[in-house]
Amino acid sequence: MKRIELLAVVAAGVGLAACTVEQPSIPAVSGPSEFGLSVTLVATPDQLPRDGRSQSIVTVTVRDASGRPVSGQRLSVSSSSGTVSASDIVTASDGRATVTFIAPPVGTPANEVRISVVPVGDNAANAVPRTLSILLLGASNITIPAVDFDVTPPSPEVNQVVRFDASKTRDEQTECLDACAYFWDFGDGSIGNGRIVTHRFTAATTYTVTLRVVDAAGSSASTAKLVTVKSVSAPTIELSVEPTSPTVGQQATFTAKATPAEGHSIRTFTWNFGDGTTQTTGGPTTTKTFTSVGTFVVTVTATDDLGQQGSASRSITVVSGITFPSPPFTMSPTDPTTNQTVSFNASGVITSGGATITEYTWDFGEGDSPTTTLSASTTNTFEVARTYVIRLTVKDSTGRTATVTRDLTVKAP
Amino acid sequence: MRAKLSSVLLLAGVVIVSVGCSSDVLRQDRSPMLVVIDRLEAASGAEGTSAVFGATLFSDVITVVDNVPTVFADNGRVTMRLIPKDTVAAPSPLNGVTITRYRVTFRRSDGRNTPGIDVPHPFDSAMTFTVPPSGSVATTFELVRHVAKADAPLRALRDSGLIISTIADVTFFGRDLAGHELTASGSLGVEFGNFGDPD
Repeated sequence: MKRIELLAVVAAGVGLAACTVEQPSIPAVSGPSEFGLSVTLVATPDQLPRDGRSQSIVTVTVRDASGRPVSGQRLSVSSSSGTVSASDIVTASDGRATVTFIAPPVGTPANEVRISVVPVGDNAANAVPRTLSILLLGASNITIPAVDFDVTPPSPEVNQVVRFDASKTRDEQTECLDACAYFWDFGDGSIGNGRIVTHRFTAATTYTVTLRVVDAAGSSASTAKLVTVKSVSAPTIELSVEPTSPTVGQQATFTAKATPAEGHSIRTFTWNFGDGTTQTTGGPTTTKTFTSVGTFVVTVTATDDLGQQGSASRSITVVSGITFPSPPFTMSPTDPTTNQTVSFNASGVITSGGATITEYTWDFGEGDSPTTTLSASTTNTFEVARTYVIRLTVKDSTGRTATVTRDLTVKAP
Repeated sequence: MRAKLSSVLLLAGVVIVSVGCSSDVLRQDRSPMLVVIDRLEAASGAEGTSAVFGATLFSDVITVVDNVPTVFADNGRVTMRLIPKDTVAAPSPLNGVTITRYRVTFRRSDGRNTPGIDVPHPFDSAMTFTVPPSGSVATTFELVRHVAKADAPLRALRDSGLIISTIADVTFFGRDLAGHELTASGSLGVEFGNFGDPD
């Protein structure tokens, strides 16, 4: 009986227990407190001087949504300035990866560097970049250059070498010198670069010379100056020759009397003798020996220290040096008939310079070969009545030759 | 006679057990009160004060405000009341239930539920309000966090033109003033995408 009561109580107890043991247990807090892939950046140190050498170690720690380290996570690293030792890093088993950042050089204008780390996954649209700032210490290059330059001489002449010096340009309260880049525009269509440059202006006018200076931070500024270039007269020149009519083989002396502009001087004389030969001399005098007869136009060009040129020309006649009398040779009789012996005599021919006539070559115009004789006289008989052109060529002991002609009419008997 | 009495007692016990355990009301917890969610709604945070709460949330992952791309969190709103398990005894103020925490979990009908890949990460957050023994109370809570929209997989929706349809399961945790712990759960649909932005 008691056993039955006990069973009832137990049954009731079991029933009550079944309805009340389901005590809800509130689960522990879960879920990510930031992005599902937590990427934290730490830089040691977080301040660097602008010296291009100092380094900071950037440690990247990657954790998943549960706070566990993520190994093998690829990360893309970049910086707004300066350099990072690697642009693609992978986390180790502790979820960490390190990269070395090298400070930017002197003159970097920014006051801080932002290092960006982007997880590399399977969809760039999901990538959330994380950034870290490193403060840059020391003076930054925040001002534009104060551009100035000198022009020497300030009022140059045409073709004169003008010196432009931008050493007076200042940046960040000090002379910029070679820390800046200099770009010139001379206003005549030509440009140049460099702190000190030279230039020649080829026309007398006023030019606007512009200088643009770019400092190490990339800031630029410009200034312009007017440069008035004065005109300078070209050299004047007179040409003389002695002898005025030289003979072949005779040395002729040419003299150029050049007058440069005031304050300038002649640097070179260029000679063109008209026979295909030229010569350049530093002085105003030169010599020339012509090897053939003829008329030649000799031109001399004088160039002054500005490069300006003046020219003068002179026509000279070069003669053989052998002089024929009038008539150049005699013929006897002067009105011969056919088959009559005619005497020719060229003893009146003279040569200069102490030379002597060594050969007489006669061409009687009959179609035969010319006859050369050592004496000044010779004879010939003409078989056909007509007019002949008698050509005499003489040669002297210096090798000079001269030719002359004369007509002879032979009549029938 | 005594045997009959014992049989009656046994039967009564079995009846009590069967009655008590056949009700979901009694299985919930030890508290004499049941927490009932009358409504679980949500509204897009991009709509600001003009937001209209509804049973389905269209969550805009990025909203352009004055030409500035902006991320808004989305709020949910829950309306709760208490039901006494003992319908005979009048409830006292001690039967009030204070809710202190809630958990949001997202799932998809196609079963692809990897947090951070298919659906946003689940998260716990806190809120505190007391549901009185009689009457109801409504309060808002953060249903979709800012960080979820800036994280995978919602971040990729900014330019992809895709929409992710999920069910958000929200579980509220609290206890009555006697220290009995209670939970209450509800669900609502949440669709994520780059929807049109308000003027």
